Formats: sequence, structure tokens, C-alpha cells
Amino acid sequence: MMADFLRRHRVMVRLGLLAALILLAQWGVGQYVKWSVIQSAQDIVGASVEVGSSRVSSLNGRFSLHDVRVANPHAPLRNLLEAQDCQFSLDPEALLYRRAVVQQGHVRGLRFATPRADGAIGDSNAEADNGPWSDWLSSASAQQARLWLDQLEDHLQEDLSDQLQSVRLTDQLLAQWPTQYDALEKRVRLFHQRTVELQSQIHDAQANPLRHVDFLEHLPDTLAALRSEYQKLQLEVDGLPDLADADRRAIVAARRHDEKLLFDKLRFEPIDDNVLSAYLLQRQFAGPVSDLVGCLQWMRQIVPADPQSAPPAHRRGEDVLFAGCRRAPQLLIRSLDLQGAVCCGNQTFEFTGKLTDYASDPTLHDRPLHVQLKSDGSASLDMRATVDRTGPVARDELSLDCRNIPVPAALLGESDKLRLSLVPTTASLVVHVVVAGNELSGDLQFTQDHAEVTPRVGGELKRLPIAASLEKPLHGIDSVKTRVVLRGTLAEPHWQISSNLGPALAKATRDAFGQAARQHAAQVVAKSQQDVDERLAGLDRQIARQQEALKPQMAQSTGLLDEITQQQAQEGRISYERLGDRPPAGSLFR
Amino acid sequence: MFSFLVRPLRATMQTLLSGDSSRQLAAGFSLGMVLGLLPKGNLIAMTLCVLIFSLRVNTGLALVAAVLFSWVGVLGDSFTHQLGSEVLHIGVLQAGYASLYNLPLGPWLGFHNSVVMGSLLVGLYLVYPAYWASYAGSRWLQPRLNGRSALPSAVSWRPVSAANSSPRREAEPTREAA
Repeated sequence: MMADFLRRHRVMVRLGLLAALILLAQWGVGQYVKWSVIQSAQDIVGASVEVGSSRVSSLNGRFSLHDVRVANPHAPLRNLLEAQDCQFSLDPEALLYRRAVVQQGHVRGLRFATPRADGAIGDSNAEADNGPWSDWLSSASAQQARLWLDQLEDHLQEDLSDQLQSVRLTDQLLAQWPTQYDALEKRVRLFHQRTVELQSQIHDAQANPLRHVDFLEHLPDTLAALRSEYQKLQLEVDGLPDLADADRRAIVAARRHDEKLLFDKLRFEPIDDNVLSAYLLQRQFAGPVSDLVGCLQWMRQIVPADPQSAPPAHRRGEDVLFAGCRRAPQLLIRSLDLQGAVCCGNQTFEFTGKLTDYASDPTLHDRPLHVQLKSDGSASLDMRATVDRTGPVARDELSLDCRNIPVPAALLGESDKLRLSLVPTTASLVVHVVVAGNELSGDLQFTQDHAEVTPRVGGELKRLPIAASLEKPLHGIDSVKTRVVLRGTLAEPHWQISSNLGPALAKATRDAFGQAARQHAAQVVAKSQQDVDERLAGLDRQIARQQEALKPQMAQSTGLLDEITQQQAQEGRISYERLGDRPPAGSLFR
Repeated sequence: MFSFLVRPLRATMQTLLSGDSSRQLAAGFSLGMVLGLLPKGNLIAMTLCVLIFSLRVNTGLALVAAVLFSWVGVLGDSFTHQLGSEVLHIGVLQAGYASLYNLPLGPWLGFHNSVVMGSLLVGLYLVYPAYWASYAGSRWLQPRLNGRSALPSAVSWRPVSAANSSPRREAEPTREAA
């Protein structure tokens, strides 16, 4: 009896120990799977990976992970992806061969680029949120357009009146006229002074002719010279208005030159259509294009083109492949159903999809990895990605087709001087990108239907009457079609943006600014002409006043000359012959 | 002062070496050495571990040896890698290797790894000398640790009471019995 009890007791204890061991093994395997998943994912992604909980069912070969979060190695504050629930069904036979083959699985609650609750977990050398991928986005075209607008504004702000030849000639005329007048006035004054002195000398000579024989002898010549000089002076004084007329003619001739100069100065260089497209749309598309290229780079990081380029696992020695053995990937996911949400163009799409043939070393698997996501609703999404490592050249292909994406109102353009506003509308996005080897090629097409484009002009350009001229051609645009062409390599990608907005805006600006420039030039010419005319009129009035001021002096001088001439004519000439004649009666000389 | 410093070491050695026969000590040391030399994470190492805990060997000494020889094993990786590579690339053995590798649990053995194979071979090569060296050492050390004279080679120093005697103990006659 006692022996039976002890035997039963011993059996129960052993059964209890076995149950505890099984439970411990169950828990231990779950922890081991969780640790393995975290380590493998961190090795692949290069960022922190967190798993909330894990559960392994050894009997049916299933394991599940909950609250999986993978940090973005390039943005510490964001998750690359997170999933609420992951279920995997393993092939037990493959486990005997040290391989994990997921026959079927599903991932629910998949989200991308979600914010992290703890922003500190990330690589210490992680970069800013916008990532390093945007470094290659050249802004040369947008910069060129901004410079073009700045030059346009500078031209319109520039004071061109200083450069006008008519204005310069007027300034010269007004500057040199006082000097000319002073010289003339001085000559008139001197002439009058000489006339007065001559009269005085004649009086002296008449009082004592013998002492002034020579003077009297040359008096007629002197008088003639003075008369001649007077006539010259008179001509110059009378010709003062004619002198101004000559300068005015020169100024009028200069005006034609000025008009040509102004039109040349205000003729702005035409700008390339694609440059304007880049100016308008580069900022809007830089983020999505950078994300797209970043996604391709990430795909290459997850599935390297050359498996030897992947960092080797930290292990001792090397595994030898025996003759007749075939290498197989350590992890293979044959089929994985996906369900979650993705944000594309400010729109969140609830999607379902499937991932097939993911292999830890895809070169060892004979079928490429396919991912397909599909969303049905008011806004539809269809995304297909293929990662092919079965051929000699690694090939990644990404196709995306989004329809009816709501697009909010946007203000295009990076400068306040010229922008285009777009009303809220819907758009479609079609992306097809291929990476063969390291060569990147593909394009992104974004079409906004029923777009209303309105120009907005600011700064100095606002003073120009160009708004109406710009609006008319731009209102004719019904849909805005933008195409981004990608080329180059994954390490050094290049992109070129083109749109129907660029040519339309280029034509509108060409017409509007051309017309505005002509008007501006005409205004400047008219203003300068008016200014010159006013100043010339002032000069004319000044000349008239000064001419009038000279006339009395000239009249006095000519009066004196006439008086002297008349006296000489009455008294006659005292000649040598007359010096020996009998003096008149009553004369002192007898 | 010297005895004060040596006392903990002596106590540790007493703990490790007491309770088992010299052969069990030597076997434990040998198995621990092989386990230590091998990289872990394969079925060979796990099998050795199971053997250590299953067989009548000194587990404590085996674990100490495993820890000590783990460092030695890492230092000798370059040699064991070369040795393992040479052995694994022997042409006539490829078919045998392949058939072993293609068996269920074959890849878990880890013998296709050069360091595992090299370490296993080195361990197997050293097992017999290590056994006899440790056997001799334990025979020399056990009485001294206990403060007694040396015993005959086939006799355990430890007195076993009649009540505690087990078939295992009985297999090796005690000093009193001798």
C-alpha cells in the first residue's frame, strides 16, 4: 500500500516536472524567437527593432509577434513601419534542416512612417528627419528662375534716366551755358569800355592834334576795327537763341538713341520652360521624389544587389558547402498577407496585399520577391514591387498607380515675386521606376484635373500691369500635368521635372512682361522728354533775359561809335597837306 | 598571510574535487575541455553538454574546464579554421559529408563549419592526454587538499558510510574498505 502510494507520488512529481519543463521550453522558445527576430531585423535594417510580445505554438509550428516596431535608421523620431499582429506558419520539416520557411502568414495593422513614442531609440549617427536622400535634389533650376525674377525686378527698379543721352546733353548744356554767357558778357563789357576810352582819346587828340598825329592817323582804322568787332558781338548776341536750337536738335537726336537704349535695357532674357517648371514645382515634388528614391535605396539595403556586399554575420569560421549540396536561404517567406494603411499624397489608403517569396538571401531562391498592395475606395491605390535577384543583374521594379487623390490648395513657386495658386482638386499619380544593377530609370507622372491656376505677383513686379496679362493664358489650363524623370544611379540619382505649367507661364510672362517693359520704357522716355523740355524751356527764358540784358550795353557801345564816326565825318580828316596851309582867321597859329 | 590568500582557492578546489573519484574528475575535465574548445550553438556542443550532465562525471570541473577552454578555443580559431577547412575539403569524404549534412538535423550539427570541425578534432586529439593528465593531477591533489597521504590509484580517498553507499560508490572501494 505504502509502496503504491510512493510509486504514484513519484510518478506525479515526475509528470509535474515534465509539465513545468514543457512550459519553460514553450516560454524559452518564444523568447528565443523574439530575440532572433529582433537581432535579424536589426542586422537587416540597421536600426532599433522592438517586439511587444511573441508566442510560439510548437505543436502546429506557428509563431506570432505583436506590436512590432522598426525604427527608421534615417529618422530617429519615426518608425519605418509598425505592425500590430504578425502570424507565421512554419514548415516543420525545414526546421530540421536549420531553415525557417514561412508557408503562410499574415501581418495586420501595418503602418509606415509613424511617429515614435520614444524618439531616443535610434542610431546615434542618425540624421535629421528629412534624411540624407534629399542631398542630391539639385535646386539649380529653381535658383536660376529666382535670379531671373530678381534681375527682372532690378531692371524695373533701376533709374534709367541717368543713362539717357538726351538728359546728359541737357545737363551739359545747362552746365556750360553760364560760362558761355559770362564770356560773352565780359566781351561786351570790354568792348563798351574800349569805346568809351576811344572817345576820351579822341577828345584829347582833338585838343592837341600835333601830339596825337599817329593816333589821328590810325583813328579810322581803329574805328573800322571796332565796328567790325561790334558787328561780330552783335551777331553772337543775336544768335544766342540759335545756339540753343542747335543743342536742342542734338538732344532730339539723342532721344531716339535713348528710346533704343531703353528698349534694349528692358528687354528681358526669355527663360527656359523647364526652368520655370522646376521653379514652380520642385519644392512640391522634392519630398515625394526623395521618399521614392529613399524607398528604392532602402529596398537595396534590405535586399542587397550583391550578397557579398552585405555585412557578414559575426560568426567563427566559415561554412563549407559540400559537393552535391545546394545552398538555401536561411529564411524564406513563401506567402504573407498584408493589411494596413499607407499615406500617399496626403491621403491615407487602407490596403490589403500580399508578399511572396521573400528570402534572406534572394540569390539562393529561384523566384523574385513580389509585393502587391491594393486599395479600393474613393481613392484607389495599386502598388507592385518586384525585387529580382535571380538573374545576373539585380533588378528592382516599383509601379504605383493612385487615382482620385485629394490635393489641397497649393501655392507654387519659391519667390514672392511670382507665384501660382492652385485650388483644391483631385489628382492621379503614376510611378514606374526600375533599378537595374545600379542604374536608375523611370518617371513619375502627377496629373491634377480641373485645376484653376491663378497668378500672384508681388514685390516691385506688382507695380506692373501684368496680372491681367498673366491670368488670361493661365486660366486656359484645365489640368496640370507634371512629369518627373529619374535617371542616374541609386548613389547619385538625377531628376528632371517638366510640366505644362512651365511653358504656359513662360509664354504668359513673355507676353505680359514684354508689354509691361514696352510701356515702362515709353513712360521713362516720356518722362525724360518732359523733363528735358522743361529744362530747355527754362534755358530759353534765361537766354532771352540775358540777351535783353546785353542789348543796352551793345546799344550804348554802338551809340558811342556812331557819335565818334559822325564827329569824324563833320570835322574831316587832318592830313599832312593841311598841316602847312594858312590857318584860319583867329587861329592861334599864324 | 599566504595561507589566508590560498584558503579560498583551496576551498574551491576542495568543492570541485571532492565527492568524486579521480576517473570521474578526469572524465569531467576532458569532456569540459572538448565542450569549451567547440563553438557553441550546434548540436555537437549541445550533445556534449547533455553528456556532461548525464554521465557520471564531475559536472563542476567540467563546467570550469568548458569556461577556461572557451577562451583558449577563441585564441586558436585561426588554427582550427585551417585544420577544419583542410579536413572538410578532403575529396573522398565529400559524399559522406553531404549525406550527413542532408540528413534531418544535419545542418544543426554544425560540423560543416571549419572552426567547429577543427575544434572538434583538436578536442578529440587532446581528450586522452587530458584525461590522463587530469587523472594524475587529481590523484596527486585530492589527498593534499584533504591533508592526507596519497592513496592507491584505484581507491577513492572519500569515506563512504554504509547508509549512503550506492552502487556507484560501491563500484569503487573506499579507503576503509581497502
